[in-house]
Amino acid sequence: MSRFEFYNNDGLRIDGRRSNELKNFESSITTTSNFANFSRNTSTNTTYLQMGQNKVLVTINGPKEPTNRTKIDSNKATLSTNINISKFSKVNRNTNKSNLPDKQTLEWEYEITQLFSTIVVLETYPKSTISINVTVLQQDGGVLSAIINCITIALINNSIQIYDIITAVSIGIVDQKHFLLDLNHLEEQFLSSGTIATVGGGDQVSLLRIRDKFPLDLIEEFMQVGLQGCSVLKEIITKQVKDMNLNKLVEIQ
Amino acid sequence: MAKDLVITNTERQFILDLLANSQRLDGRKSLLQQRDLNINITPNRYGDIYLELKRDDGSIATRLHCKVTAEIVKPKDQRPFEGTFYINCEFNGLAGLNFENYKVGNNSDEFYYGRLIESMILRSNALDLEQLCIVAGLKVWNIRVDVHVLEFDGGFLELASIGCMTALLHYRRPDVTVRNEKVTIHSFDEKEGVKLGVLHIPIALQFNLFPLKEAAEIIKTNTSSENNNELVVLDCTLKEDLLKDGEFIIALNKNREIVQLNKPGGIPISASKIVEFSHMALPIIEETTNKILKAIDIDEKKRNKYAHLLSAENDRYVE
Amino acid sequence: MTNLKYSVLPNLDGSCELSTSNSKVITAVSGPLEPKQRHRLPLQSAIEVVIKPSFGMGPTPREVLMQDKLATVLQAVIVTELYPRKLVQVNAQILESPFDEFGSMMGNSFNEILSPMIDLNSCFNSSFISLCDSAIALKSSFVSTLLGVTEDKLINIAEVSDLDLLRSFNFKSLHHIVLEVEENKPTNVLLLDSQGDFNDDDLVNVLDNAQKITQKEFQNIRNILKDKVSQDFIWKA
Repeated sequence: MSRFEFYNNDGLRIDGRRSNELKNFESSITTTSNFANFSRNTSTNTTYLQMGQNKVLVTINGPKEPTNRTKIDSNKATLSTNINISKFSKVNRNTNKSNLPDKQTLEWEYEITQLFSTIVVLETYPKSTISINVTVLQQDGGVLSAIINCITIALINNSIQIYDIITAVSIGIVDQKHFLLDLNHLEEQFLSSGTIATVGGGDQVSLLRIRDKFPLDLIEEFMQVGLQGCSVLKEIITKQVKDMNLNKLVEIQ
Repeated sequence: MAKDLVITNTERQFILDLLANSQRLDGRKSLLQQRDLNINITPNRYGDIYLELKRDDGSIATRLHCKVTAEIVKPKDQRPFEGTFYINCEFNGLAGLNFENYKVGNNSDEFYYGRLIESMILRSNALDLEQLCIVAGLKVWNIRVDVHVLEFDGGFLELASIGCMTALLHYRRPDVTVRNEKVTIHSFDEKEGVKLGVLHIPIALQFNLFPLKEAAEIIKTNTSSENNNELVVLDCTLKEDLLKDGEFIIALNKNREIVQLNKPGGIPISASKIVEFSHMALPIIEETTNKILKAIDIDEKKRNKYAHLLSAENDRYVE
Repeated sequence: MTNLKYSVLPNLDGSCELSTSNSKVITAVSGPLEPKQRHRLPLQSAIEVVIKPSFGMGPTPREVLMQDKLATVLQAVIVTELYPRKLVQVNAQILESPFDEFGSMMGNSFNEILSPMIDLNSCFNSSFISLCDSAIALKSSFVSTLLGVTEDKLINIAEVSDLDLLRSFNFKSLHHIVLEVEENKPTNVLLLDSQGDFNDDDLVNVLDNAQKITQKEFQNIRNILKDKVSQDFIWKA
């Protein structure tokens, strides 16, 4: 089936990870130092996440008064997502001349808006909007999961109330038996893959997206691998957020 | 879908209470009962399908028209050997006053569902695109399915996916011959039309979720997957559709393959439930597939009344 | 053979599904509605017509031209003064057209002109029934006819059921005529859209024939409406 050997006999993948090993996960709030000039003009923090070779930048605007009067909901806030995938983010440069987002990005926007609408405590911010702006600087497989993770961290950093942390990972399947966690772009290109997002690292699935052919009988295992990955990721995110905020506290003092 | 449709708080409460008691507004007795599906194929045309969902009292709830058209275009630069495929899903004013008449935004449900069906067919190779190539890099067939909603009371995704697959299975494109780079298109009188290469039949099924508790509570009761946090409803009516709080879409084919599995946000449900529902979807989808194949078979027999007389095939014992 | 079905869409005020020998449309009328601010006219009702093509995204310029023609005639027929500051919306979806299969134009430039005319002809007749169904006040009735003139004869295009024959006709000119019907008699010309090569004799001949067809067609429509009225809710004892 596969032209490449995605999973060798020693249990190692192309990039040397084990099948259930996550990519390195590094997040930071870039309000100070590096992006000082950049962020001075904006009212919000920028959150930067590096998940393997995925580099994602998220800014959150709001809660603020909506510019469009018709969008006001007197009971809760409305959420909007805008994803910008930069043209230099892939190995193959996007030759699409127009600046309009492609259909896949629009789908992601729809899904992410739906996802976070139930996670953010929207009732706390009536008559306002919260807009999430995502910039993908570099992509390396499982971009959707990186975006979701980064938005979670950004929401925490912007002190927007959420019910729980959302974590997402991508999963692929090799030769109908090995499951690989957190794919890189080669794996994503050639394997059947999917993205799963859970709430608070438990077994409550909030988002699921499989767009490739996938045997029905393996779905259970697929979920298990995904849930495991998500719960590990939750620990990582919790730790990193705590560390970041400690640093922030130190800086303020 | 139908953004302006206002549901009053009392009506909302009524519908949700009904659902909690396993009752439906249109008289169905179970949350998992689907409405009757009728597939009508227009005689003397190829790939022109009308689909109806009927309520228990016989009135038509949803009516869809699917039409396949083909034209010859230049292929995409990246894929010179492949034809193109495109689905156009639009709601128009016919479906009701609450539906917008002009082009809808990219964030709308119908855009999402349209894309879902498109990628369901494309990503799983349900339609063989390489068969649509006439001259590599210059001329390929562009197959387009138009989905017109003539009447609407829920069930768009399922019907549209059934309609698209039926129309694709039924459609015949004109035969072409290529000689010395010259392309001749034969009319149906000259040569029998060529069926499209449909390799398998994926059908989508939408499970709609209704929370039994507050969203906060569902998220907080993380560990107890035993708890029943939500109701799962099949084949929602329009009003139920507007009140739902999450959905779970699965597209399967008869070969036990998942072609799409989508849960775009909404209230979270436990992983074991997703597995359970995926398995539950299989018999439903098998039944629908048989229905489609039967409708096409009947139509085929009507068209070829004399085929059995002309055939030189031996009679064989058929089980 | 024209086949009519009225009140096919229960969600809207009036609707009609009309199939001629070679085309099929479904139209719906809703009104009087509360319009958007920019559609609001102080002394009469606005009329909005939307026609969707049988395939592809629409309305394209081809349909916009059809919409304009339909809207101008409806403007003259609907009693617009009765619904000031309101909107009458007419929706049409073309379901079948003889030229929506690939290669059906057969390189014949006349077919490209003929195709929207056939669609529009069906839309006219169908929207009349829809208007009656929706109980919008009308000044008069109207019937639309589409005639084609070849070298030696006059053809009522709506009655040609053989698509291949239709596509291969060698028309000299095409005439789309909408006649107003008052007191069971065709009277005024509401729309006359002629394309091709013709002289005044041709035109007179076409109008004469159109009158005859209109008279016959209107009897048919009248019977259907009679039937509908007798079955309507209010009249039932």
